[in-house]
Amino acid sequence: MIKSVLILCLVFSLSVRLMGQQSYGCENKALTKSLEEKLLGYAVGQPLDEKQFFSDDWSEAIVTLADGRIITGELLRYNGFLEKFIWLKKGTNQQIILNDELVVRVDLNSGKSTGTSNFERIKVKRWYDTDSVFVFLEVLTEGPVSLYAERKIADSQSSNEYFSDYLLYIKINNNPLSAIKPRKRDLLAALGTYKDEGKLALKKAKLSISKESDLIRAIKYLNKTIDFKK
Amino acid sequence: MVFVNLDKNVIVSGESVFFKAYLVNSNTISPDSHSRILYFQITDPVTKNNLVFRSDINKNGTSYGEIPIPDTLSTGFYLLTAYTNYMRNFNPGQVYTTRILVINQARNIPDELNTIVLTKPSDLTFKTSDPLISKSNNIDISLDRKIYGTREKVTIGLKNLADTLSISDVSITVTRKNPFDDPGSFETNICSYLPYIANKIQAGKDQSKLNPGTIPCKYPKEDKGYIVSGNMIDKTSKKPISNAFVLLSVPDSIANLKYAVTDSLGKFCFLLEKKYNNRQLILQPKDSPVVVENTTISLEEKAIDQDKLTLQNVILDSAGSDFLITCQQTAMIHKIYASKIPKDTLGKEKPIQEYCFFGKPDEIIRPSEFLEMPNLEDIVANIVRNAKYKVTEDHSSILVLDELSHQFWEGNNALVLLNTIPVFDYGVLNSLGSRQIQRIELKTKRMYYGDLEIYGIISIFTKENYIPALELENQVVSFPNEVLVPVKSNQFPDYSLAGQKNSKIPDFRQTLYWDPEFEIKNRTKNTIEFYTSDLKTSYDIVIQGITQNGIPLSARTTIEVR
Repeated sequence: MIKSVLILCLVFSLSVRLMGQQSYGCENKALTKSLEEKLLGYAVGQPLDEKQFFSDDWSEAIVTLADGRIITGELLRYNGFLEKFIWLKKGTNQQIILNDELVVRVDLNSGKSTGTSNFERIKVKRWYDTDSVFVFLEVLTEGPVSLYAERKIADSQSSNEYFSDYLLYIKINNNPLSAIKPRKRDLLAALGTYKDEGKLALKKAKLSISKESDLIRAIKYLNKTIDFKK
Repeated sequence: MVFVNLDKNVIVSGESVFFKAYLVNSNTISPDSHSRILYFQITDPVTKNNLVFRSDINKNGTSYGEIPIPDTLSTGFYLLTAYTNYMRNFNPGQVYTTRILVINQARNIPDELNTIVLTKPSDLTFKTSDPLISKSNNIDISLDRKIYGTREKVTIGLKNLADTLSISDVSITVTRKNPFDDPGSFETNICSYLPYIANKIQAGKDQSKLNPGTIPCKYPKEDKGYIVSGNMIDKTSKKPISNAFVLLSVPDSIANLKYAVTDSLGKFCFLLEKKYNNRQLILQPKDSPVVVENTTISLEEKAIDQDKLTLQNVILDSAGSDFLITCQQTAMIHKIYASKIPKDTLGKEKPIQEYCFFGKPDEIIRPSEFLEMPNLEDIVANIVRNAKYKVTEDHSSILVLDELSHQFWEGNNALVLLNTIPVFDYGVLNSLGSRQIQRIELKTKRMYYGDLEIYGIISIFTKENYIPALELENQVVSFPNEVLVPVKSNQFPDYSLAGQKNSKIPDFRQTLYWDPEFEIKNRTKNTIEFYTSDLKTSYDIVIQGITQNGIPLSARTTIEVR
């Protein structure tokens, strides 16, 4: 009996101390949340078809806006069908299409196993579009030579099935993006004035390119070995 | 901790005092920019009334500008304090305090003054091993001579004796010597002030390590910008309103909306970036007019209590009285011609590009392109096909058609902005007709802005910049988010120019020179040049600053103008 009274007293004194601490402004989570920047998006009536997403899981995101503001901690997933980021309202099933007019970059933290996926909102001219459009491109490697992937999910109108596809884009220094296929000759052509140096470097390292991962490895190697500033 | 150097400490009301503030890390005594906002408070020691000013702190941990002294202040000593929001937790320990003497421009000089007794530390010992740290006059001031004529050029050479390796950021003032000045005062010498306060803070930290949990945390660090905070209460019961949305908007051409949610104590806060500086801000609860009418919003003042001031009565002698009278007279003459002297506005920052918080509108309607209609009800009914506006005597509603379901969100009013200010009393909008409205922007989507659910937006812009009548008394708080502009100084006359020296315009400047950010570089000649005024008297040259390595610098000397 005495023991339980003592425990109760201890719990009470601890809770009084904690309450006391909460009265201070900088300890107050509700107020701290108010200071955080907010995302803007458009509500979706029904949850979107899971097949429209590349990933099964929602990831904590860092969203950078054009005016430099950064929004952290919200759950996002890239929808390849809509080519939009979908934001999941925490504690609900409400899915929201992220208003990307002001977004310049999204970094998704997919957990320890898969790491971080980075996306930039860049204007590209696709072969099937008449005008250049802003799209989210996954940053595959960054440097003087950067490689981006536009990941898409389309549906087959006849069978209602979804299939995925991608387009790769290369950027050298601050030149405009150009589409590229994972082939050595495409990479060398894209290198322009650095073509000969690139050819020599790839030959020396015995690097062949037949798929996306080969192209990433080759570009990372070229960024290390060639001085693209000259 | 913070140290402030003023261009003068005797100011005639209606004039400004220029300042340079150094925010310094108490552990390393090096420049600190963790807090981005600095407050200045001028306290009347008798009435305890406060005037609070705000200034932005630069990336290098300094701040400069001018504090306007209102012409309503009566003659007497006032307490000037400088602090960050975080330092308010440690008042008076880390708060910088000094005295200024204000002379009322229009009233007669009194026979006696109330002066504030500042507690002087009895023990000025420093832990640091560097003997130069505690030494004043660790800047060598070389003058071409000691006595000058009026409107004559003065050239001063400066050399840093304390730290020959790093660049020093100093502020320099050349101002009229005054009989009330105490050159040995502790708080006006950075070399005495910073090491002493640093030791005191360190001792306090050691003490709090022994008693964890004693570090107060009432006022957060404003490390990202200015935090405006306040409370929302129920007018009748005086109880706090929790979990309520408070909206912050700016009358502008681009809609810029922020919101905060009140906590269990009804408290809310907003982080304001620099783009909100010196703009009229509007705070209001987000709700129907019925609920809104019963709420009161009050803002927290960032003032600090100065209740324990010790006052002493000083009878003015003839020297003191004469000094104050000449200050009054010269200020009056100066005021007549001051409008012709431009300000040195270096340090102005680039304008920040602004974006509408809800992005691009889905639809824009210009009523002037249609037949003229007398009110909003007719305009919406006839030309805004994606909205529905209903006004009755006791209830008004405004709805937007959802572009996905093609149905109106019955029971959920759209967010209405009138010249970018949210309006919840929809009835007042009906007086707007085609002649008043410039355009109507529509967002026909159900949106989430953080936790704020918005059932479409109707943003109305009027031809004249009409701000909705904020007649709802206390529920809407409108305040000018005033910040001191980083002005370096008044521009000083250059009497080397032809015709200037013999100009008939009187020059009774009491401050001959002020530069809040002069860099003393090593291995180069550091010189400053300025011209004397028509006022024949003694002038103090006072230099205060700090090196990149955190060594406080100060020097003081006198020149004569005859």
